[in-house]
Amino acid sequence: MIRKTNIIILIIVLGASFILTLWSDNLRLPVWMPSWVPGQTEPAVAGRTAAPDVKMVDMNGETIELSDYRGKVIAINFWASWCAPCVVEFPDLIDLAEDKQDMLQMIFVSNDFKLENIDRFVSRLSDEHQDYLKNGANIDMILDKDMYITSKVFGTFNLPETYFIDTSGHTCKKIVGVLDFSAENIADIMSACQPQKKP
Amino acid sequence: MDSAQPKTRNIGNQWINWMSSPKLVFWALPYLMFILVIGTLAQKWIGLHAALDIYFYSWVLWIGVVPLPGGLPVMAVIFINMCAKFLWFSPWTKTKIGSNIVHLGVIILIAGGIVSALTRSDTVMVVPEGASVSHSQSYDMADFVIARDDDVIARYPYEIINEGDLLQNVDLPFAVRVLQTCLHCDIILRPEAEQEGWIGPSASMKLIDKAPSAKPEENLQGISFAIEMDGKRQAKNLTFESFPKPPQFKLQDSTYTLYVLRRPHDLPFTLTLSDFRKIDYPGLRKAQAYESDIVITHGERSFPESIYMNNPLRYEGYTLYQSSFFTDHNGTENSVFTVVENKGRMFPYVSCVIIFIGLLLHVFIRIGRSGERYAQKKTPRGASIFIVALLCGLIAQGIFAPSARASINDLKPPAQAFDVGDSYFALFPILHDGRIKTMDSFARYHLQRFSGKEKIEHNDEVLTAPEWMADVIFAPDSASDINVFLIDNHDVLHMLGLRAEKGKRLFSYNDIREGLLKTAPRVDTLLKSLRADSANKPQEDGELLLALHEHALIYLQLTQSLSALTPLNNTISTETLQLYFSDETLKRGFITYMDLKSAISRIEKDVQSIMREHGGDLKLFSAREAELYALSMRFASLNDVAAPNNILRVFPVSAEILDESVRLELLFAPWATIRNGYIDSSNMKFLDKWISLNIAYNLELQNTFSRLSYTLYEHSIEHIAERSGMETSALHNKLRFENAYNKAAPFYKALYLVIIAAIIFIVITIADSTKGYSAQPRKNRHNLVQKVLLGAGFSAVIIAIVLMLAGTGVRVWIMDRPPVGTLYESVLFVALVLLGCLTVLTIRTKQYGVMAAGLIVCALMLLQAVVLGHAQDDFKVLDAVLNTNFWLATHVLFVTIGYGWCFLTAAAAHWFLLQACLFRDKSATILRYGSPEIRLITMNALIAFFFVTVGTILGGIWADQSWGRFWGWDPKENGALLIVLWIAWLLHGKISRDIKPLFYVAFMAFLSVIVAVAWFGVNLLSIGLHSYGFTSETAISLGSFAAAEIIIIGAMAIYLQYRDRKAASL
Repeated sequence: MIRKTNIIILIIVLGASFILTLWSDNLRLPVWMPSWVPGQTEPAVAGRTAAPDVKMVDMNGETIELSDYRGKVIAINFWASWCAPCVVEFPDLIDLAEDKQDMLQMIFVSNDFKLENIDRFVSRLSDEHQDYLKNGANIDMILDKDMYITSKVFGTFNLPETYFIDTSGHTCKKIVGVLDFSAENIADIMSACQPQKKP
Repeated sequence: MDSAQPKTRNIGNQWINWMSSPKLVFWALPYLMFILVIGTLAQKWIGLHAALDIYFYSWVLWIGVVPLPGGLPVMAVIFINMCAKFLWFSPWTKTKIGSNIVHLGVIILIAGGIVSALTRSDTVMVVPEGASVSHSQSYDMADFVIARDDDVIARYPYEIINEGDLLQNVDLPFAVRVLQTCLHCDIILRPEAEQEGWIGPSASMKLIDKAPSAKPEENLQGISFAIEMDGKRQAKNLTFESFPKPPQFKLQDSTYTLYVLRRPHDLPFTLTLSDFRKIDYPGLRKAQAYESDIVITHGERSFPESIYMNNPLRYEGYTLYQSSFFTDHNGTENSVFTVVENKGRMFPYVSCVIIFIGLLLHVFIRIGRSGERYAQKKTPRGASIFIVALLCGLIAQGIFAPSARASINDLKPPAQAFDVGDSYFALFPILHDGRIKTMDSFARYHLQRFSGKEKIEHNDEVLTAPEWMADVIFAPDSASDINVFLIDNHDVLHMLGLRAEKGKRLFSYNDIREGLLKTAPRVDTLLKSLRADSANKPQEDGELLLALHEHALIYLQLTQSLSALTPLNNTISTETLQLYFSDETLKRGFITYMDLKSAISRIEKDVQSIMREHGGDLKLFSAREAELYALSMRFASLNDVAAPNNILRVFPVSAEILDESVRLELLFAPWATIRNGYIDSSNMKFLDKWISLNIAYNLELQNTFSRLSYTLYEHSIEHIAERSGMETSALHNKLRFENAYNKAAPFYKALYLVIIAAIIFIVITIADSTKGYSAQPRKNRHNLVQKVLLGAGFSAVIIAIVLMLAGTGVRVWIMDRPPVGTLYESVLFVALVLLGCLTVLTIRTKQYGVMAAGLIVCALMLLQAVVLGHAQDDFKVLDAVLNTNFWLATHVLFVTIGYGWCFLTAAAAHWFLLQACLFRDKSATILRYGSPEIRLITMNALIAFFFVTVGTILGGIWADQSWGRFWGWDPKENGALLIVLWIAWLLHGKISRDIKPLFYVAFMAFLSVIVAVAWFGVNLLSIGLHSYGFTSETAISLGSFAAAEIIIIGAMAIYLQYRDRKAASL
């Protein structure tokens, strides 16, 4: 004899399964953000590394320290007259310095062995560039023939490299190779080099 | 009353009785298992889809010319049987409630399969980043489309076009003759002889049909055709799906394009892919996760969502799963979604809950009903003494090396002269295989890989893995004399020009260096052949030679990993050096590659002048000029050979100077750091300290080495903690415990203890057996010696359990996930479950024979783990689809517990068969339904059945979450189902009494083979979505195990059967 209870149970369970399918098909789950994916490490919101406040002597004989330029973004470009990409980007860096006079301090650190090599290279620049290089208030030229500042202090072994230091004296960006001078990239860099807010 | 009525009722009742009889399922299940096995094996040769059509989803299965029922009628019979049983013969009594609920669950499961088969549709959606798509495409249905000036004017479904058809349309000024269609095409070069009449790309390529791919979206639909006008053939061409340049021609000022499209299915909403991300494990080209950020637009509404592995989106009756991705020829990332509609989707979920409840109730009711009273759970006194004694010994010795317990501020002096292993060098964090591990783990991995050992002998000394690694990276010249390369194949030795010496299996790099050069051309040939077709596997000696070359290459990379920081041989005069290097550099007394790099432009300029001056003739160089030349050559050599090195990833790099693509990576190799310009003021000091560490090692300055190791370790930990957001102490503890785990090798120790315990219990069992058979444990059956042995045996087992639990706990903590993500881990876990359940069972029942049998199985599993764990990292990161703690903790845990319990059941069955063989006059008592032995087997089989069944269904639910389908007849899934069906078959056979007790016990013993085949054997097929963990050693082990079991069980069963028949005839 067929068990009526069992028929009812079976129909109920089958029906419930079907209804559950229809209900869950229209159930929108909350948005899961990908940041919880196990194992993924986001860079911690930690403090930036303080840039070394090294003393440098420019080609005019004046001693400068990075802390002299607090409040400005500092760009330290490591270059040499025998380095072809360095030579190519050099005028653009002067233009950048001129364009951002109020907010950027440009420091050129040359790895040339002799001052004459630098002089010879500079003499080939346009008059405007030569003029700004000589008279621009936000440009310093350093000769690092021992490569002490280049390799021992800043760890630069590939030329050109450009360090960007934020307004509070911390490293905010390091560009290995030629800088992308597009307006968007420069704006990104300048924005990234504003002081970090504490979380 | 009409006389026909009672007859009808009787016939009706007979039918109902027959349809609901357990006999029906008893005879249907083995046939279903037969289809399961042959259908799974067939997938290896004919592919999944063909196997589905021929075996699982067919009504008739043709074996040659013999028609047999296919999978569908068998499953239909089982479904009808379940329904009939449930509706007519399932009263809700205490003893039946559990099985009734289980049967209900099975009915729901199969009903869900029927609803899915009738309502399911699977389509695929390919969305480029930034694009919006509002339709999906069929996986396997395509249309041949003809467009005029981008407007579709004719669409022909593949189902209706055949070879030879002439497709005409009133809007078309031409006709198309179909030459060939294929739903899964391969494109090959068209032979020259066949090129006539073919135009465009079709002149050089041809479509051929091939077997369907296991992934439907990989199947390529194509068509070859001829254009005809006024009955004359104009040209032949072909087109296929996603053809970048489909055939086009101009006619009467219109441009006609012919292409193949997968059949589109319109969706009620639009999906826009905002961003697709593939997140690799750091430093590894292995996906940790795939994620798609999308926006759904439905009419006026628009909302963002994220879809990724194990997290589909359900909307408007559609479920969208992250299926895969690719980068197209424009460099744009495309996310691939599976779009599923299935009105039967929730049935397996409901079924899982019902079966879980039903089996749980059934098991508990059976346990409650069990009338046996075994000896109380008392640990024998001898065991207590041993446990205390051994624990004291362990505490005294320390399970983990003392140095591993050193806190970060507590430097312990090394135990012996220049003990690298006890310094912080062994704890150095290094990024390898997608995770941060200790230098000790890194060293062990490579040493095992090369030599098969964790320690190596050299000059009468035993070197630990970190000691060997220190030699390799700091003193590569002397390390090249250490015998680390395992070569035990005579053919390979001969190819390398080495003599086979008795007992010598390990060779140094210096021994094999020339042989490697000699065999390099052969290796090139082998590699080219493999690249051309991965099926071109070399012979065994070729494979071994390839492996040796690979190991040698890795070894060389290790030796070169610190060459940028190693003092270069300084034969240059001070005067020359002063010209190129600063006083600061010269003060140190040596120069490194990095110093050289700073000065190389000047050096190379001078060398060029010298070369010009002397016309390139080196004999004319002065001493100083020769030095300069050698220096520049050395630099060039390091640049070319060592610079690509990326193996020793120990250097921390600040996040702000990293490129976006590597921002998540925490540590870098020295060469990569220099090459990519990742050095800055913050890690310059780190670099200098590594130089000093190198020097300290080579000059054997123990204290300096220890101090520098500590400083570097501390610096690395702080950097990693800062970048990853972990606490420094937590990270330190993880590394410390990983180191301690490596040294303690808890599973190795557990293996020895299990072997000792197995021997002890075998001895006890033999001693018990000499006293004759007893269904119940006798009081005072052991003398003092036996009691002490028993105590020792239990002690060994309990300590083994403690070790395995500790080892498992450490693994869980280190990997932050359940300990069942890899085959290696699952073997260890199953062994642990088996050991635990066996111990509890034996304490309760005093069945020491079962204990002995179970311990043998456990020892074999731990041994297999040692083999599997050989030459690979224990702590492997998981594939993206496995990277989910929830499903690992549910499905995999349930299944592995089930496997462990299956082995326990099989062990008990083995012992009882052996008892029946030994105690001639008692075999009838043992081998009868209702005997304590068979009740014990049945009880454990039920528990195993619970775990395996629920685990298998959970696996299906996981598959539904990940891949959009509950069941795909994948070999791994079929293997799990085989275990479920095997136990179900035996249990039903017992109920219906269709199986004799002897065969019931024998087939329960055979459960061990079923589980081994389902667990390891399916991997040997190397097909399906679950292929992992295969090694050739596994195949040999499995084969040997299965053969041994068949012989042992078969011999006992045949013997007992023969003896019964003989007794019956007398």
